Amino acid sequence: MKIQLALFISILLFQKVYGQRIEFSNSIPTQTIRVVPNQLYGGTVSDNLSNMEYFELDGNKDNILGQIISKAFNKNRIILIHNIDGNLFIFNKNGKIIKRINKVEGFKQPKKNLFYRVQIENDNIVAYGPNIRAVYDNDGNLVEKQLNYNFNYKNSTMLIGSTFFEYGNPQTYGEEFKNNFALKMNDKVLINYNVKDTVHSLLYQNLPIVSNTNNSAYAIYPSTYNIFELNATGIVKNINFLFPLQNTIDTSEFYIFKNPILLSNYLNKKPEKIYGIGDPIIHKNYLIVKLGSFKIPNWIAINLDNNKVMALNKIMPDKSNDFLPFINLTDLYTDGDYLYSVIYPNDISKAIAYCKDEDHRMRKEYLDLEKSKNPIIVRFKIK
Amino acid sequence: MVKETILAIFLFLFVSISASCQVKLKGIVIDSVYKRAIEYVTVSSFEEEKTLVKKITLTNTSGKFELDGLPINKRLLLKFSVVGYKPTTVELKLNSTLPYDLGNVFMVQSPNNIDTINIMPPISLKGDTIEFNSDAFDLDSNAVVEDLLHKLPGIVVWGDKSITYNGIPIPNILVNGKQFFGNDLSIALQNIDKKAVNKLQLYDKRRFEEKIKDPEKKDLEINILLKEGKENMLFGNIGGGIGSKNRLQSQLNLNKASKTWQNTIAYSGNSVNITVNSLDQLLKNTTYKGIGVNSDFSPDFQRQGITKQVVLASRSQYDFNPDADQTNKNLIIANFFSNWTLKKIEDVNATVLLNNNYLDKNLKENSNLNFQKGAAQLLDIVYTRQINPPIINEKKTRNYGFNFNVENSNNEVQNTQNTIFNYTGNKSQNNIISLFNTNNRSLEFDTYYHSYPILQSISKNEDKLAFINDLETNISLNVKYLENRFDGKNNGIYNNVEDPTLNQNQERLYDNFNSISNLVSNIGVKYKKWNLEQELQFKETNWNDNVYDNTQINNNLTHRSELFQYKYAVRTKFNKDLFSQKFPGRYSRNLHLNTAIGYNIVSDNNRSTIDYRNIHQSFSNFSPLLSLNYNKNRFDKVDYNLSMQYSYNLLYPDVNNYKPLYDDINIGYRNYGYQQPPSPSGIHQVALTGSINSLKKYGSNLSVELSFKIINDPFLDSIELLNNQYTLYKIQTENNMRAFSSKLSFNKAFLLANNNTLTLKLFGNYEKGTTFQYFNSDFQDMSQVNYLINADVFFTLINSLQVGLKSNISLYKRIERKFSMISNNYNSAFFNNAIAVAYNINKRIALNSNLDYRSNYFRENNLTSVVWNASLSYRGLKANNLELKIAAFDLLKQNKGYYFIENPYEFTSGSRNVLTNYLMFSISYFPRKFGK
Repeated sequence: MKIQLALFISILLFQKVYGQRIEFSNSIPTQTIRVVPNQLYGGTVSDNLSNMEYFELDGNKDNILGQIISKAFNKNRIILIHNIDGNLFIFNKNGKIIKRINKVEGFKQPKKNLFYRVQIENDNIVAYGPNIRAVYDNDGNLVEKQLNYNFNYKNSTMLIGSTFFEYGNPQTYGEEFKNNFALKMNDKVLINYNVKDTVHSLLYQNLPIVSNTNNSAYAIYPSTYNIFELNATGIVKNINFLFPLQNTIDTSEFYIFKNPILLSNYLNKKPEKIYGIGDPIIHKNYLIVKLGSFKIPNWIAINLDNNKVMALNKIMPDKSNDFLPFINLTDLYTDGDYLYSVIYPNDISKAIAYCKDEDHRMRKEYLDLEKSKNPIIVRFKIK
Repeated sequence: MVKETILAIFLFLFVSISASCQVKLKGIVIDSVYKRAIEYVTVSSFEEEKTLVKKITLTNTSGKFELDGLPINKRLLLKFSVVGYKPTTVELKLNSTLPYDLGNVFMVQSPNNIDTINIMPPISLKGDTIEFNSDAFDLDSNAVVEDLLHKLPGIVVWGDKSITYNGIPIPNILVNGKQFFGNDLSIALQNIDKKAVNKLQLYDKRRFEEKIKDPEKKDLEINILLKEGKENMLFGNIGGGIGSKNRLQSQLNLNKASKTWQNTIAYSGNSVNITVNSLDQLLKNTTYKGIGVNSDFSPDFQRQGITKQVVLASRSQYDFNPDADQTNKNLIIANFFSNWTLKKIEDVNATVLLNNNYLDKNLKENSNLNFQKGAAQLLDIVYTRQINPPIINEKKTRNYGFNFNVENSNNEVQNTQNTIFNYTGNKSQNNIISLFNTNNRSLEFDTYYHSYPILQSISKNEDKLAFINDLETNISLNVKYLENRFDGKNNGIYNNVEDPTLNQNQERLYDNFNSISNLVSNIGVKYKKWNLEQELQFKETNWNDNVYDNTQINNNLTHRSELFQYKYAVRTKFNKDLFSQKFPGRYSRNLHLNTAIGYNIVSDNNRSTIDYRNIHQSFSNFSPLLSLNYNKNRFDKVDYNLSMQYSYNLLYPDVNNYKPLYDDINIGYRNYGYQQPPSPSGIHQVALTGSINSLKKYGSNLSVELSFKIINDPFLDSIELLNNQYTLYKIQTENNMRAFSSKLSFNKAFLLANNNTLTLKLFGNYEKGTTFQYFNSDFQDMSQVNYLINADVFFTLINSLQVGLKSNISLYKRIERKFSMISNNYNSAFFNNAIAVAYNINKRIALNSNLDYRSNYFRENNLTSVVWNASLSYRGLKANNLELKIAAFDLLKQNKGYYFIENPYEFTSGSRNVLTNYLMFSISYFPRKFGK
């Protein structure tokens, strides 16, 4: 019950996005991945994960982070934007603060929040805010700024090499579609929405375009089971997920996406249905994605060598990590080598109680994390 | 003795808890092939060769489960079931009292669900609702819903009758989605046969947006879903008792329900000071399971006089939407309540003035013999229509309804009062024999309409009139007509010791009639953070009083008067979060501002055939309010709240009491009302409240409230001892009055082994204030201090023992500040300790006892009494629905009826007739039929 609610909250926290079915060229190569939710593997942390570390982000009165609205990880840095003033925080790989950016020289910010979004583009830190796009190096030095930048919170963009991708958000005004493109590469439309299709969706799988470390990215479409891999030349492939019928929302049932009431009622009655896929990550030989469902574990890792699928949420903490949780429902990132997730000091409190119940002594450095003023970063690898 | 009793109780509790120590078992349920933990698996324990569940729990998100209170040295079966898996069974025998770890329990998926299709697990999840399947639980054949609750994991029924799930209160219980025979939970929990129940559904009743905003702040509700056909039921109680000293008690209630109707007829009759004020009170105290230590249907040994009462009542409820859920209510309820009372009060008291200048000749003695015979009938029809869709944004919220009631009451009073005044300048005796009959009739109609948005048809037009979609409206109208007829006579004999010429013997007849017409309308419109409220009141009161002295019209008391009162109030409210910060997993902070400014206009116009009662007054004022609320919530640990509020308002003199009529039948006393035309009195109030609530399971909570009040130009009582008359004036002074009060409450609940419970409630109140009065020419400047401490402790051993311990200490201190005369100071203290025990010796025999120790200390006097009651009851017949009971009341014969009353200038002590020792034998039958 708690998971379902938290998941739904995470969905609604994002902007209202209306989705509809998409049209794209048949020539785009398709990779089909079959996932059977009943056959997801679980296990324990010691059996499945390695190199697990927990560390706090430096917390003093100048850098307490509220709700984090955007996160990015690269080989050397952890980059975060928090909701209170949209400041950009750059931490090193051990959580030490490198820089807090609260203004851009020569830029008069029009709103209280300086930035809304940060992402890695061509190995640079790129932050977007109202009327600005700012590019920083790993030490937080401003490399480039574009003032009067037409930042569209709803339409994501991504620069891969010199290729500019724009994600077409099917936002509607009244009953009329304003966008009928779903993805543009420079000015060329690669994916279209079906304009005759009036299905809307309020579900959103975190970001519509997710950057990958090897100069590629993924474009994700809500209420579909497709993810498009992009690189500087265009769409590399369409990764199409197939689920058993009992987990699939049939197109005849797409009316449920018209409003959140119908959707909520439908998913409450059929919690085994999957309503979307998002947040793809390539980690070693795994493709990790997040499944949208009220019942099915949401983070799955697909071993691309043997097609064995693991449910990361069902990897149970054990004595090896002092029963600390290592993953939440919304955050999982990669710097190419490691996976990163975020937990909070109250998770440590719960683990302390659990350890007490299991008669297990938690190591001191983890015990100290309970007093952390900032979120706690978890770094790990899948074995 | 009290100490020994408390010690004995705690010793008994300790032994009981120790004796009930049983084994705790834990484990983790894992998918045998895919190695993942399985959540929401029902883990049920059965004793060997039994088919119904003994203990039950659910696995958590990590697949972990814990079962408490398992028996040792018995063969047990543990059954694991969840949809999609083959049921798994583990056999074991626990040999020691040490906690036992079962380790991993593996379950195998059922590929086509064939093995699971016909199995109804004891607990299942349906959306975000947890459903408990009643038939799966092992209970006594006569078990009721409350017994079932004791079995359900996470649910605790506490000694004070509150219910929690994982520490979160469940304040409301519905049956088939509707309220069940009134509002008291006990009526459903302690009457409905467990076998009639299909499922218990537990859910968060809040609406969608509220759940999203604050997922952890749950508002839980239980819905008892009955089996098909079992909504047709009949239950109730028929009983009577006969006791020594002609004490009688009898009651009957029959409750019949169908899918659309709930009908009750009820009767109660007694001569033992039990006053039934409502049908709910009668039903909740006569349940099949029995009320335990929380009865408010017991003979009242503290009440003055002896009261006999007969009540006849009925209630019919019709549900227009029997199949709709709790978000769509369409009900009409008709309540009829009639009662006849007979009361006899004998009262002897003495009053002294608390002023050192009047130590001599300072006594008023009063004796009173009073017979009252009353009858009242009330018919109340309530229609309720509520449409509250689970999602607020669906914008279809409509609540409306009406309440229509008619009341008629008659009261006959015979009163003989003898007052002896022994004051300097006033030595007299006044004897009044009164015979009065009062008749009241009233008719009241109340209706309300709440809608969000204000108009549904316009709300569809989203572009042009978008703001209308956010308007919320509340409209209410109350119309009341009341008439009162008062007739009778006073026969007053007045003898003055020092001046016999003042003696009089007067027979005075009264034929008075008055009527009140009152209309109040409220209109409120809310738009986002703004709220505009208006109230309009019109009230007309008419008097037609005819008073005769020995057949001659008494011109001082005979009058025709009309009082017209108008009130218009308008108020604007605004609320806003000044800041709101969330630090996930750590804490959140919020500062909320509430402001309001109101403007009130009042006009009172009294027209009378008696000159001095022709009065007109009108006032207007602004009433501002400012409040700030700060909240800090440390996730899963503690929640702090601090709020500060300032308000200002005016207090108007009541024009009807401005110049009271003087009835000289009571010649030694006169109330002159206000000495001079008063102006309104202004009240500035600053209140500071704080609370600390532990967010841990069964955590404690502490709340503190501080309030400081300054009253400008207050109205004061002024006493003047004239020759042969004790007179009272209301005067207004320029001295500001100050009052400080502080309240502290602390609650803590302890869950003991086997769901046994201990609850502790502490409440303290401290009040300090200044007050003034004139006593003849003396201006008295006094400070008053009040202390109050209440401590309640409840302990339950499920189905066997309930103990309730209530302690109350009250201290009062008055200090004369102006004259610094210590001897004029005054202290009093009141202690009350009560203990009640209900012990079920077995399923048929129960023992109940309560002991009430009271002690009053005042002016070096100490009045102490102990009232001890005990009863033994036996349940007969197969369904335990015949009860034989023998009860002994006031076993120590100590109930004496002593009392005292105190105020800043007078102290009265006396004694009244009260209920005393008696023995009663009673028999009750509980008719019960569930299903046709």
